Amino acid sequence: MTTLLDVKGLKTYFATTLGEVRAVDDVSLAVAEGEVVGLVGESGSGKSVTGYSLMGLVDAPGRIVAGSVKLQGRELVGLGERDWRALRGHDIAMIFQDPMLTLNPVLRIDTQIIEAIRAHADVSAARAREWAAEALAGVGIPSPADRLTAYPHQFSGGMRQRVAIAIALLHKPKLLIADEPTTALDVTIQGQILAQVQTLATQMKTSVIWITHDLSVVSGLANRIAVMYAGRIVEEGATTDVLTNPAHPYTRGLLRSLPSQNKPGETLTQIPGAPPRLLGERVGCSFAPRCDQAQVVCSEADPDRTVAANRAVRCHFALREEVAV
Amino acid sequence: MQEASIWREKLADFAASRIALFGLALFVLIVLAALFAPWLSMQNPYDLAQLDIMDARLPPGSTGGDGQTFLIGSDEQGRDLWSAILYGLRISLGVGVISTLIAVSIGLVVGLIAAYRGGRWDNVIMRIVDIQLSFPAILIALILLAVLGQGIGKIIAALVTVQWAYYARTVRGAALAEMSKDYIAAAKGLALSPARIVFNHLLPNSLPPLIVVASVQVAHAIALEATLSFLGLGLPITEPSLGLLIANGYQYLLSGKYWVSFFPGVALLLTILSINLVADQLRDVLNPRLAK
Amino acid sequence: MSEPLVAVDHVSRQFVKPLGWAESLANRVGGDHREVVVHALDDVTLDIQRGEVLGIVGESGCGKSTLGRIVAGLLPPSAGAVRFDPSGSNAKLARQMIFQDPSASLNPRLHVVDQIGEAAVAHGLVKPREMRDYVVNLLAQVGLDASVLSRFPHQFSGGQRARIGIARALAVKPELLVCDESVAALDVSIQAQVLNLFAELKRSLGLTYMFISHDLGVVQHLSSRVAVMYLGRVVEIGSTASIFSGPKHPYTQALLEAMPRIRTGHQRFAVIKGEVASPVNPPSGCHFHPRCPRADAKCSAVAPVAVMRGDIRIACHYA
Repeated sequence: MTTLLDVKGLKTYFATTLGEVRAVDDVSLAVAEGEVVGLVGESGSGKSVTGYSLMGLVDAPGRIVAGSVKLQGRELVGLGERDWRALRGHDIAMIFQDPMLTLNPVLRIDTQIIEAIRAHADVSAARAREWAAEALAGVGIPSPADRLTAYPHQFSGGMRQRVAIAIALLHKPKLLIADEPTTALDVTIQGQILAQVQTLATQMKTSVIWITHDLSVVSGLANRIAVMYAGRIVEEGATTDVLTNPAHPYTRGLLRSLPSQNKPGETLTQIPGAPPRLLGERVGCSFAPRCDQAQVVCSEADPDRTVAANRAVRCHFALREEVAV
Repeated sequence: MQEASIWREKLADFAASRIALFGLALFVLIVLAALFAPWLSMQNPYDLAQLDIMDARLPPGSTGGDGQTFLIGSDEQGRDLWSAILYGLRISLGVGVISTLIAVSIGLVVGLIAAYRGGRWDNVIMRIVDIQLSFPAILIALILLAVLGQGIGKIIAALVTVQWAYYARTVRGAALAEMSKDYIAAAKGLALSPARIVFNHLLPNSLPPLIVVASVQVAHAIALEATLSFLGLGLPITEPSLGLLIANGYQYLLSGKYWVSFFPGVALLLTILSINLVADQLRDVLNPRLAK
Repeated sequence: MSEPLVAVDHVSRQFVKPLGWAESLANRVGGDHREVVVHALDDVTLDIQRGEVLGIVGESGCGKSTLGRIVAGLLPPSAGAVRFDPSGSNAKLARQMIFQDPSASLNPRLHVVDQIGEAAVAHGLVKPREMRDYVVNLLAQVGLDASVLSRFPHQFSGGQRARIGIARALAVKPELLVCDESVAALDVSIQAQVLNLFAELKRSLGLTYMFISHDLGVVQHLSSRVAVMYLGRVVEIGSTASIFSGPKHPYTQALLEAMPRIRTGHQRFAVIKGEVASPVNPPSGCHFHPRCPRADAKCSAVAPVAVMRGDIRIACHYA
């Protein structure tokens, strides 16, 4: 498989009155063409900021201080706003937890979709309208031609998210970044949207980075899973490997704390404490204070990213199977 | 973190704006000048025995009949303008602050009742507020003063009448928003008495927007009092506030004796400006939607 | 079986948005403005036994939160009745609610000590000078220490705020806790801590829970019985084991299939069509019929009557 996106050593910091917040701190991640990667983490882990960084959407007081993001070999860090405009919506698209970040509440749906079409394609008004209706039909909106003239507030939350997805996929982007788009939705609607995105991404050969706090959502969707903690990817590997044989204590804790992974009624395995604040120098492993396997070295030395057996882990005591040669 | 930290944090936010700090410094200076007016001025401008009509309308820097220097000139009755401004500030600030405090108290009670009781209470109270706010403030004040006559007490009464409705509406809006939050539901679930819920829970959380509106309204009240005095409806001519000082000099403006109106005008402008600068920053600091 | 702690008897609840005075005026001169009526609950009957955890699941608009507030005594029903039969003397305090949003459910301007202790003192459960020790005790029960007494809610993390909310409810010695999405806003690792706390408190204090959640995994873990709600009605209720192993109602089946689980391998997401109808204008007959794969003419005409199938009570014509 060819690599579509190659992120190396990405650091996005935010300047605050209390000091520098290291929201994304040395993140490396590669996404192959047509691949679905699940980026999993709790609030404050830096997963959303990673998504924003890839889209060139980090605004002051945040900035990308180091690293490189390459899309098909082209460096995106430091790109000018004009180049980004040509890229966003065409090569990379993003959907958000709140679809109203994409949709303008005072404009009709057709106005917004046609505007997005004509931003990257030189087509007639009639063709653009046709295209917009096809796009709505593609995400499962019934009677799309009629719904085109509606305003966003006339749609339910699930329908709005579908419209946002339709807009994101208009130009068959190479990469779709989905930032918790189903978190605010009911389970049955979440199922519908997951199925829709799965089908469309396969058809269009679009790679997807699905950002979520919920391991179970991406377990059936993603080819690979990257788990973030305190601004870093602590473990990354094929979905099956990570879920059945987690190497990092945090991944293990996360899996075991899910009620569905425990026998009903039994005490859940819990990770003690709370995630750290991302201020100041990093001394040792950020997870060490909550880790049940932490040794002296963990609070002294920051573990490096090590890659073995197709798995990248940041832990001094990562569980590994013996690699058969 | 310590318990005082909310306020320390807010204070730090406030201090982040230099222009607001400048406004605050200016305001404190003006308040101090008003408070210590008797020690800062060379005469008591309200004591007619100290005035000499021969000293009327002297330009800044002149020496009067008794050998005193009129730093920024004198008015048509021979008052030292510097002293008159300091004493005028006392009246303007006093009237503004006292009327605001009374109006805030009335608005607070009325607004909280409307929000907590709801239904018919809310409807009746808010319709009165609507009617009150649909008349121009200056018109109501003019009619009231025409009926009541002159005097500090009466002008305060007029200012309270035209202002309480703003506060009532602000408090009601804020309290309604708080009422829908779960901590009020929790308090009801814990069977706390209505008085306790209103005073311990609803009131403290409805205050921030009120503080913001009040800080802006103090400036309005001062300006309104100056307007009324300018129109000759506020205070007796023997105890001029800033507005009356401006009015008295107004007729000489074109004859080149600018200072009689100019310096009281500057004092009024600085007072209102300083309050508005502080109020602006207060609004930013206390508005949770603008919080970082 | 002994008397249940809570008996919800044919409870319905509508919310009416009354006409504004301008609209009423317009109606006098021939306007046609109607009140908007939301049918949040439609003839709900269920029991909560002493010492059990009754889970309530359903999607938005199913009325689970309204049912929670009615059972907690925060909202009166429009029709029907709720019988609450606590063993203690103070029935008002014996049922308490634990809310979803840990930040909005605490008074932002009250110290933790007053937040938790206020009601106990106001109702004479403890003397004012004993409040501090009383609160320290409660804090220990929820896993916090005395150092937090004089802090404000904004100085805590979501998980800690949830614990403070629980301590506040425990302060008045309740027998029933109504938990409305109480862990929904928490991160997975924190959620596990709070769920464990709920289980522990149930054991140590003999509490009864009504546990409302959209998260089937959470409900399965904690509940002994589950009620599944759809558009204001209970469509299926029974023991957790029976419902999760053999759901009978087509909606419950769809819900369970859509429930995200840790599964490896490429997965097709089971999908039921359509969205939940508006509770302002619920469908005729069985509320679920527009989305139901098995629905026929009878379903759209007649609302099904609940019947017992084993230990499950279900409202479906074809169960």
